[in-house]
Amino acid sequence: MIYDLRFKIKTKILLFVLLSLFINLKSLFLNPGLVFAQEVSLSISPPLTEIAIRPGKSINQTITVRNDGVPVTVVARIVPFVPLDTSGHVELIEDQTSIETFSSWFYFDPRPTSLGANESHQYIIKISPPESAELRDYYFTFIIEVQNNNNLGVGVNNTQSQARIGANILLTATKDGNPQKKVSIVKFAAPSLIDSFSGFSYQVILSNSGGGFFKPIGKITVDQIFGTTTTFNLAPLNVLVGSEREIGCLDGQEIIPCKLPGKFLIGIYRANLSFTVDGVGESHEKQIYTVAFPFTILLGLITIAVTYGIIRRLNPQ
Amino acid sequence: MRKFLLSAFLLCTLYFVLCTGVAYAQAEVISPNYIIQMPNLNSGAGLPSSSNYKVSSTIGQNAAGLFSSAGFRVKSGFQYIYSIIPFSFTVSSTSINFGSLIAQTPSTATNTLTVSSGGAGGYQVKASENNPLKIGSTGTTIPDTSCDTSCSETTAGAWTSSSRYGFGFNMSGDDVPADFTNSTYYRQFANRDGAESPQIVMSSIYVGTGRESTVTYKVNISGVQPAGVYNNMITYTAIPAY
Repeated sequence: MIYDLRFKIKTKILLFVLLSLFINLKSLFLNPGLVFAQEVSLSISPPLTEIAIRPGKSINQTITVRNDGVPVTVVARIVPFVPLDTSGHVELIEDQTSIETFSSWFYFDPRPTSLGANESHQYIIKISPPESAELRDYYFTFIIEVQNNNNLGVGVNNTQSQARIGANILLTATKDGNPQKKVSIVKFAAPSLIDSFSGFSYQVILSNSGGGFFKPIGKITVDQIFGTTTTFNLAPLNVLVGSEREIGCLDGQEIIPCKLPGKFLIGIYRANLSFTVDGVGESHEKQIYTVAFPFTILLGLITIAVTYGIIRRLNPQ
Repeated sequence: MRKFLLSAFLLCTLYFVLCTGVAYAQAEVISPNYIIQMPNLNSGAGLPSSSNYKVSSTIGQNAAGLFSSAGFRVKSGFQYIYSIIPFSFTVSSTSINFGSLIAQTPSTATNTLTVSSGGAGGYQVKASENNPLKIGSTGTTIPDTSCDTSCSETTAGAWTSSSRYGFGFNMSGDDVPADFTNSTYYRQFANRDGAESPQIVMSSIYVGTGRESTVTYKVNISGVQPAGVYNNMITYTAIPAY
């Protein structure tokens, strides 16, 4: 009897496993669209490549694309860009003429590539500016574009989302590796007068009118007259030719606002901006002052005094 | 008992093989028509195998003297970030269905955009549409919304009236433009057919991971909108800051 019971239990377990297997296999083959989430997820590395190269020379650069989502088919292309704003954002120039102008500079596999889930693909890009290339900077974005499944949404009112991801390539065509670099301090500013409880940040904007992009290497040193000294390291962000870039400060590997620490500030603060271009050459400097005064406390005291005076007048006794 | 265990084991193995993805890492790029000679020469790229990879080290050479002999200098990554961290972008759902459109009854749907720029000082995501929602065969469109009073591809406006028609989107969550004041504010998508430039829908100047925003798509049609199936495509382009 016990043997019969055991046999029945085993049989039921086996039937359950068989049934589960059948249901999932049926879903897999009859409704493929329901099995996979439609989440498209890509990553690209490295996010930035900086190249200085003599025209006529060539190099190979590898960019790796990884698929962390559903299987996709992707296509690669290289598109020139110009700086969009002071925050390091780009404006892609995607007209066919602009793309074709540089098509001979880059050689990589342009064919559609299938990427399964968790699969990576390396694009080996041969970069060869011709000998006739003008000695200046050229900026590009290597774009990976997902080819959408055109069968999705057929027959229904639908919008499809297409994902593209990019990595930037900053290329300087130079004979000697040392293009002339020219920087201007567009802005080094902070409020002149603040309330002691306000807090404030320093704003730094640099412009590049030279022949190659650069990074500012330097710091802001803030001396509180008769007080402490605070130092901020400037973030070595790229300032591209013909553009302006707002430079933040660095805390370890993070970019932070150049904000003076402390909840209560009082006195005169002398800030000195000092940096070099790429860490070499002459130092560029500018100095500004900020006065912090406890206006709110003063206002409060005045209010109390006036109120007290009024009360005394109304009640002389 | 043995037979039972063996059967269960075989069934489970069959199940896992058929119903779970098997990922093969791609060892190298090889194609019968595209031969790569000396891959990765002069390259500092690829996914890092060590967190101590020095981004600031140059591949090729470091000094001007070495440049003059080799003729190039390459740096990968960001000088202040000591590992090459991949830049990643996720779109939660690529197919947004609106179902049957009923006059003066707005239909909405959402998906999410997620960006991780741990290896970059900032990023941007731009969006544009290939054309307004359109019946492919006839070219009839549902125009981009003008909201209750006005809105464009660059500036959001309140859109709450059911007698205002069109197609638009709202953004909420991390790093979205400030003109999306609340959930009732919508923009048009930049229309590439109309030579409009893609517009930023997410951006930051800071290093960040898992930055997520929600896109809410909204369609509202009038009673005279021609019947048909309307489709279009929204392209989202995520690029790290330089």
